[in-house]
Amino acid sequence: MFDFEVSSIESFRNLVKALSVIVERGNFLVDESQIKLVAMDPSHVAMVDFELPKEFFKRYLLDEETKLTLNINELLKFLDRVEKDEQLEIKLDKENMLLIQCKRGGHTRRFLMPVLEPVDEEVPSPNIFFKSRARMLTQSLRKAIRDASLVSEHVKLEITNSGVKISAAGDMGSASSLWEKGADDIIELKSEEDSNATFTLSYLQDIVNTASVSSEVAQLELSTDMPIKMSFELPQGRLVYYLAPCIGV
Amino acid sequence: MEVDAEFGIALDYNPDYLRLQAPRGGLCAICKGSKMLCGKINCPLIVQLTSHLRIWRSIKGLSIDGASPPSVFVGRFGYPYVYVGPMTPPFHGDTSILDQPESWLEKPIEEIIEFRSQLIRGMYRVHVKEQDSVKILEQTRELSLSEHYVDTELTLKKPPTKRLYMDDDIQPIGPTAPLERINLSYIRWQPEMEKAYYDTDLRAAEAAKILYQKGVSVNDIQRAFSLGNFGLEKNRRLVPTRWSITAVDDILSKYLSEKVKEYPQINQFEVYESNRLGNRFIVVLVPEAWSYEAYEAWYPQTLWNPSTRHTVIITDWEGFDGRTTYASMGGCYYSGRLAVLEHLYKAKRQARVFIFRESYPNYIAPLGVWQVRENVRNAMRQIPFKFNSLETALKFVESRLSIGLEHWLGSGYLLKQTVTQRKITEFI
Repeated sequence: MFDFEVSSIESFRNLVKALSVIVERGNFLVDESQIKLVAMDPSHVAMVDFELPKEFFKRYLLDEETKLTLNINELLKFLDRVEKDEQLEIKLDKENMLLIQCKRGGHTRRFLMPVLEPVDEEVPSPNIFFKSRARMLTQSLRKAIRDASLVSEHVKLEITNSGVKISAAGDMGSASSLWEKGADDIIELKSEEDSNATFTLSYLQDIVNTASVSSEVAQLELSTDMPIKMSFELPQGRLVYYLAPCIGV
Repeated sequence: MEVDAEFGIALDYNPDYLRLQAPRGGLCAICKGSKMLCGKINCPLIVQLTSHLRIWRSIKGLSIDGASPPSVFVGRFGYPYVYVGPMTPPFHGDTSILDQPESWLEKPIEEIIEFRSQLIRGMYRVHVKEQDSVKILEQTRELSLSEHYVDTELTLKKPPTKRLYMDDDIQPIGPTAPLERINLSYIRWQPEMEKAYYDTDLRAAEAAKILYQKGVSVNDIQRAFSLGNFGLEKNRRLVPTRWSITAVDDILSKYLSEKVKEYPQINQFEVYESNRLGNRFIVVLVPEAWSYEAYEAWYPQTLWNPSTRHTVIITDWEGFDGRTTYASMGGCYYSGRLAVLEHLYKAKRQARVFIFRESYPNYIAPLGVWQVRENVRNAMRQIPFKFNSLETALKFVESRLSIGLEHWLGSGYLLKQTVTQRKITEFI
């Protein structure tokens, strides 16, 4: 059993939305210090590693470590009904139902949603040594991917010591964004070896679009033809994605 | 497909247009059905003509007296004012085979065309939302709900046109004439359909699902669906036969996909095959979350591809969440999807599905999307070849098809995606 009060419904909802693009059924682990989720999408192409510390919450009461399996899209539907100025409480009751309660000026709305059977899925983190790293503004990243979506279903990312490049080419033409080293939107750049990989655009777009609402700065880590690691920096907590590359496109 | 559209317009507006006629400027004038210059193995015109001549002798005057399989037709041109009416051959007995595509897969194409050319279509123009008791409409409705063939007498306003209409989506349609009146013998309604008909709070899609669960054949559901027999009372309307076929395929396969998406994935790569009626279908199941891509390749000198050199490949796909726009490939996308989902539903398994269709020159005339549904159903009844990798599965697929893998890969999305996309689990 637990009882949380969320201080900012907006940022909580945005984080859940960022998880929903990867995960259908989320196996959350709720312990005394944080809520944690590590999960892959049904096709095992992308992975998310998420942590939200108890400091994010106004109230964080928990009597024991709890595994909580939820249909994330269903949860999101309920959260979408919560209004900004409402006080939001989330509780797990004895009957194993998740209670979402919104209060404002003496008016209380309650939503109950079922907790699902946990699925057995141990998800270890990918073990990759990355050769290149860039920290950049998420909005800039988001726009470059949007550009690429005009011409292709795949997008190529390159990080070298001289800069970051995002490009795509298809029957409809081509699009590219190039940030030189020292560009305004690049905060940090480091590359031991020129690195590039190609990714399915729809995955990348879903991830970056939803995560960029919660995060201003993203760190990209890349090695040639390996999964990309994208860490979206949050005021509190952790939001990291891995996305496997396409080879031979 | 332009050819198709022109044929269609002729159906309701200009009956003369479609009389058996060789294409202008084609090779037919030299060939005259003897040299097979178009590359097909039978002359489509001769095949049509033969079955026509046979039936023509038995049509006398303005009265057609026979047993309807039962069969009905709703045209689409002029919508919302459409031609509706029964179809019946000019003879009695158990005629049910004439409107039962589920039983046609093993028949020669010529026989199927002959079945259909025997059906004389009576036409009566009504608004799709017609509520007043129009007798011909009511009788056609009764026929569409019948569970057996029905003795039917059509009184026509003029003699039927001597033509046969063929199209990719619907079964061939024989001679056509405007209707004066219908006489029907006793009809027993299919009991499940009767229940759905009287339930005016039941949505049409729900009704289709329930009938399907109760074992009513897809063709029977489509027939009754086209007469607007189901749905909320205020929403009921006639649905042109062609739309009704795809609507029902779509409704049923969406319903099955929602179930299938809950099932565990298959654990090997499976390849199924069916080769009937001048079409080869290869179905590949990949251990992945549900998604679907269909391909159809028209050989040079086949029905829809008069080119002597180039093969045309048409393709469409959908991801786990389905699609929201109509597949450019048309009705066969949906009938193939239904057939393969029926299999997954029965097997309680989930997979990513590819259907490859090659049409050969001996597919001399379009038969309707039922051909795709029944061919794919037939494929899924076979024992599959199983493989441990996508690579070996595709190598086998390539050996079964005439068109090289690179052409399929180059024309679609999902297959290429499946071949190129790595998984996170490979890096753990």
